[in-house]
Amino acid sequence: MDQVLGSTITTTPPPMARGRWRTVLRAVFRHPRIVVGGALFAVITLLTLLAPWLATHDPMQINPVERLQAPSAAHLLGTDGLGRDVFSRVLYGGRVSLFVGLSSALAASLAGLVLGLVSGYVRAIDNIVMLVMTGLMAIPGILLAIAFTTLSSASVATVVIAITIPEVPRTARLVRSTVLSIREQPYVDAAIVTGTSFPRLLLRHIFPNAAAPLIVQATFICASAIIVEAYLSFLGAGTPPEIPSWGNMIAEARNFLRFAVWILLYPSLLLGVAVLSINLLGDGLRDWLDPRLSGRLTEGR
Amino acid sequence: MAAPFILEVRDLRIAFDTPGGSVAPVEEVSFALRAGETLAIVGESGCGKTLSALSLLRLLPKTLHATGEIRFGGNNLLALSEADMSRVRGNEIAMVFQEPMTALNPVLTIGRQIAEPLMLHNGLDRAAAWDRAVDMLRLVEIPEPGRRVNEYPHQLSGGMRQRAMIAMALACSPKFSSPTNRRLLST
Amino acid sequence: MLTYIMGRILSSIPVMAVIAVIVFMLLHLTPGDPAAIIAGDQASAADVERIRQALGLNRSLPEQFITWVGQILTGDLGTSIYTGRPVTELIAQRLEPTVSLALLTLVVAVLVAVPIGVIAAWKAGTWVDWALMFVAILFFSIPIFITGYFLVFNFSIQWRLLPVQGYRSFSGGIGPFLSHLVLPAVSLGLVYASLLARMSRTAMLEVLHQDYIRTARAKGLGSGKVLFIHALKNAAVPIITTIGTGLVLLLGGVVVVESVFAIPGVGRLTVDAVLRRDYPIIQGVILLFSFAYVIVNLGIDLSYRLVDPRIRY
Repeated sequence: MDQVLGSTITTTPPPMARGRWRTVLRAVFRHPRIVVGGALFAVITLLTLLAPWLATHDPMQINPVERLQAPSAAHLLGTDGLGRDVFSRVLYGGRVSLFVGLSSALAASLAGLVLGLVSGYVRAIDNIVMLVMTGLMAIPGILLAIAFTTLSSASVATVVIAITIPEVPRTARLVRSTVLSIREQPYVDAAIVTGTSFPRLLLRHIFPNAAAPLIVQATFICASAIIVEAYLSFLGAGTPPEIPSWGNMIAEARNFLRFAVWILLYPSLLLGVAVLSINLLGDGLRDWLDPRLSGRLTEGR
Repeated sequence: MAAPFILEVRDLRIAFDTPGGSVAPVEEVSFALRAGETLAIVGESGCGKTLSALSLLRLLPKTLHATGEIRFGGNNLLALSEADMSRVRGNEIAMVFQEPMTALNPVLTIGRQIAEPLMLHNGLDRAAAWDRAVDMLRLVEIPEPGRRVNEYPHQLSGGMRQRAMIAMALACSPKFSSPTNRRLLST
Repeated sequence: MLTYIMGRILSSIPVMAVIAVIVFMLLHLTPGDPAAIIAGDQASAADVERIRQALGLNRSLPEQFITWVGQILTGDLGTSIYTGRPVTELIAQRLEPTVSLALLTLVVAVLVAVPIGVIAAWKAGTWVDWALMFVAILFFSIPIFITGYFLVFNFSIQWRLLPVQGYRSFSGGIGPFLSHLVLPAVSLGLVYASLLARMSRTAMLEVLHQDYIRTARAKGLGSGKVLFIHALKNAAVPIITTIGTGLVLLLGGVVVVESVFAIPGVGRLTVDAVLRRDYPIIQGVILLFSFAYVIVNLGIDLSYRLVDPRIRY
């Protein structure tokens, strides 16, 4: 993937050495969504990665004496119904959400790449694969994920698989349509005639063309996956409740809405900002990398 | 004494901004026209005929701006408000566009497209405007106007579309019409 | 024309068949013994066996599939493990709130989102466009339950303007019906409306630089008529396509929003079934929602002709 990324991105001139701040400002001005979204996402990722050092308490530590305390110096964001420190839980909770988001995006891209390539190349399989994809797209993603997690033992891995399956049709169709349109190009005919091997064809022609839309799609899947993880946890069909995740925290917090808003507020805020940052990033990337798709958000979930 | 000019264009300049300054594809264009006269502007492609014609109705793309003076009916069209300009468009100055295939709305009937300005400018009701649309189609010699009026542009032949376009422009009896098509002369 | 309609209807049958196969396979492809997982940790061997019987897992796979398809065709979605009652009956009892909520949300979202997209496209590149599209992406990023609790906290708990939760049937008067549905519909609709507003903007942008828009302006038509008649009708096909495909968001969101607002609908039934691991109900709801999606999209497919006369059958 690195190679693919490189080939797409180096089309813009490298930033000049003079006036580093000027370069940064120009980038912000030219691609505000990419820069702002990317920066926000980086900050949130960093916060969750540094959780062991930043957290003031053990996120799992139950302390009934200190339950439902408002934010204070001792508990920066207050405590929840079991006296656990909300600040520490929010940090650790983000790890689960981001992990689920990123791995679902990666898994859906890889699965889509394989399925899309196969059905783009093998006519006999194409109809069947696309029919299955059409069927999958008709099933609301949340329901499919719920069914899957209900039938499997609760774990983060189950949640990732459950969230990935409904997203695969979108990536598969994307790759397939790229393959089909590439096959029509005269230069690809020329490459085949001159005896280019299939792997080389894949690497030189298919990947570079499919990469940009696939990266954009993966970004949106990542955002969507974080939301669906939260929904699943919220509905009791997701991440096991003993693991702090933003969805689990919000699900528990709803009982205290009337007298302890902070338990609900902070995980919601971080979840919202994380998803927003990824969507902004994807939106900016799409306009930059693939203007044809401009304005389209993923229709997933 | 000759009749007064109904249209006077003075020092028309059409320009767009680039990072390196303003570039003007049309510069120092002046012409004038009396009632009943026909003016033909001839030139190689890309010399600015269409841009000049579009500027009369202030329909230039947003990136282009026209300066100078376009005097029509005692007003400088370049200085009119958007609302006043709407009353000029289609009503006093009509335009026949080059490509009827793309200039006619593909999802509205021919009749509706001709009747629209009549209802807007002449205050006709729907039925009267529709009857007049049929008359206009007959005037431009489209066979079976009563049937064609209910059809969509893609159902008409190229020549009929061109005539429908002319019918649409002439519907409100404008004082001045500006064909942007050279083929019109030979039709 | 009639052959086209018949053809389209027939072509949606394989899609529904595939959906049925996917839902069926889900039960058999998931790792582990589904009967044991559904029964839970404290279940006895007899319990597991009883569930295996109830799900028909003790028979061969093709036999199970044929029986199951036969049942679906006769409108039998199986029996709830927990209550022992037919799933079809349980769903039918819960249908009204869900249909009311989904329809209300759909209509309001379309009426709000499409004009927003049109205006954003008209003002493309200005701060109006920028602000509208930022709001759209913001609402697309906020999970339904967060919007829901935010609204409940302000409108119901702080200002006491609207009921916190619950549902009142339409037959009990339109006032209580609407006051109970406003907050759920807004929470559910924001995501869908955001998607729709952005798609409308894109579709309109493609249309607005067409020659016939210039012709319409040359006739002296005002911006309103140019945008909402001449342009919107041309942009309608991609917009109504999104109305259809976005339905997946709406139907999935119903499950969440009914849980937030304690609405006794199909979504709530599903969530209760999740907690009791009552798989036949989940299976039935998936089939119902997916088939509804296929049928609505079939209707949308057939309606293209109404907005675009160039489409022939």
